[in-house]
Amino acid sequence: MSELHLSRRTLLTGVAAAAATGGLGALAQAFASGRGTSSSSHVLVLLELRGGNDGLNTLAPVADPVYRRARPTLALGNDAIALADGLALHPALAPLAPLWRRGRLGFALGVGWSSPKRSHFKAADQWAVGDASGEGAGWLARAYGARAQSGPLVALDASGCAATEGGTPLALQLGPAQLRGRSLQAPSPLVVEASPVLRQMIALESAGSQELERLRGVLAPPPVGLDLPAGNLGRQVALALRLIGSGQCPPVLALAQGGYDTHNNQGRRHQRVLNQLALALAGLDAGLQAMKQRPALTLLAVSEFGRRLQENGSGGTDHGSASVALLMGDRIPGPFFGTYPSLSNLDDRGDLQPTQSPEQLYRRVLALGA
Amino acid sequence: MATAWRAQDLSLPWLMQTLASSPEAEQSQRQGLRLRDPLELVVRSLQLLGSDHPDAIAISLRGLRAMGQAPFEPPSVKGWPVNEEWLNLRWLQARRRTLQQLLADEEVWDTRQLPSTLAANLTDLPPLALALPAAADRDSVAALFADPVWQLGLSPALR
Repeated sequence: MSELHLSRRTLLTGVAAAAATGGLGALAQAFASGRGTSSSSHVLVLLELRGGNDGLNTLAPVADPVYRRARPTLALGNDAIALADGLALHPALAPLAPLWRRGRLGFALGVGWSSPKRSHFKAADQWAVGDASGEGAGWLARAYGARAQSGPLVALDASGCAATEGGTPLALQLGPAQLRGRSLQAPSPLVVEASPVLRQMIALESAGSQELERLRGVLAPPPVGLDLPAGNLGRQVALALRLIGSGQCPPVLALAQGGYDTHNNQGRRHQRVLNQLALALAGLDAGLQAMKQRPALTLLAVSEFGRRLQENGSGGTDHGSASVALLMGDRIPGPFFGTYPSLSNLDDRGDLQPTQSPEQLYRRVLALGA
Repeated sequence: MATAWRAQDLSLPWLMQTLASSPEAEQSQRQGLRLRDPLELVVRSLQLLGSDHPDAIAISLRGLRAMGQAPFEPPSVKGWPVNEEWLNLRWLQARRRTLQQLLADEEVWDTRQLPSTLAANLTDLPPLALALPAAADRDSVAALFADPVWQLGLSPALR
């Protein structure tokens, strides 16, 4: 039983560390005491846009002359989709316009850390934990760990999701490899018995394998007639719809899309990834609408940082600071959270100053599911 | 065995070979399998992939911290945990996630120098969810990295 003892001790350490970081610890308590502890009443989908999405060209301040001066070749043109308050969507996001009109789409403005790390990996750690230190259990693991019956937190991308790991809830991965059904359930008993450490490892991981097996067994049939984009994100959305339609959807699904690190040729590259994103989200929404019965859903799309205001000499933009986060779903309280950072009042590195922290954003999003 | 040894004129090479291939010796080897240190696991995974892209190093260093073995920062003067002391769900998940991230990174994949096949001698026990040898494609490397057996190795004393 030593492995169980160790595991519990480590988990408790993780919980203590989470409490020590403040903020989200208190949030977790508030969240746990809220209504709706059933895993099927609300599903939170976290979508990580990896590489550092250029918020300035996702939701652009097209009316601001500073924006046009700083981005002589990259500033959005007349084909941008005007929303409100002088802000306009990248034209590649046109498939999301109907969702905006129906109040199913919103944006959190100016989200970021006040002194952001320029490294993708360090910044991703900060976002995963919801704390500038970047150390400790993931923010979703902490928030859902405080719930009585939370169910597993399931990542659908092949590289997993650090925000769901390191806490008490079971963090699982249901990627293509797990879906193909190559299971660890059937190793030769002789082999397993022969190696004590292997036996312990399998015992420790068996809870996860059993839960994966159960989820695979209850999946709804693949959605038909949806115009999901080919590729990784489209596949993840299709699987998310099968879980949501299963009637036993886990409370958290984590998706990811790469390709946002647009140091060069941003015009073409950003257009491509944003269009994939918009088609996938519009497909997700259409799939949800087609379901007779389903849990409420909130999707939060975030990126590890935004990009610099000034475009670079390679037709791209470099790692910057505050960016926009996208919200989609049934409980979007309004079109915009927070205020757009001023383009005239930059920090000492010449980057946008954030107007809200990721932790504040997480609080608001978790409150939508409480 | 004693009779057979005498029949071999007490040949020591014969005796060594016979002892090493006995069921008892094989059993002893399996008993001696231990959970590799995170560093060892990351190094052998990097060696297999063969990429020297900076992403591979960045993902590895970040992963090692999450696995409980930030290089040059042992937890105490006693040193690092050993074998089953590494066993807890949080660290195991970090191991799994790091190897998956290495494999999912397009820059690392584009700079890979994988052998054409994954040889049967890559692991000290047959993997549980993959039959070796296998073609070294992304799926089979993913299955290998996800297999608990990839994390096991013989104690140095038994090599």
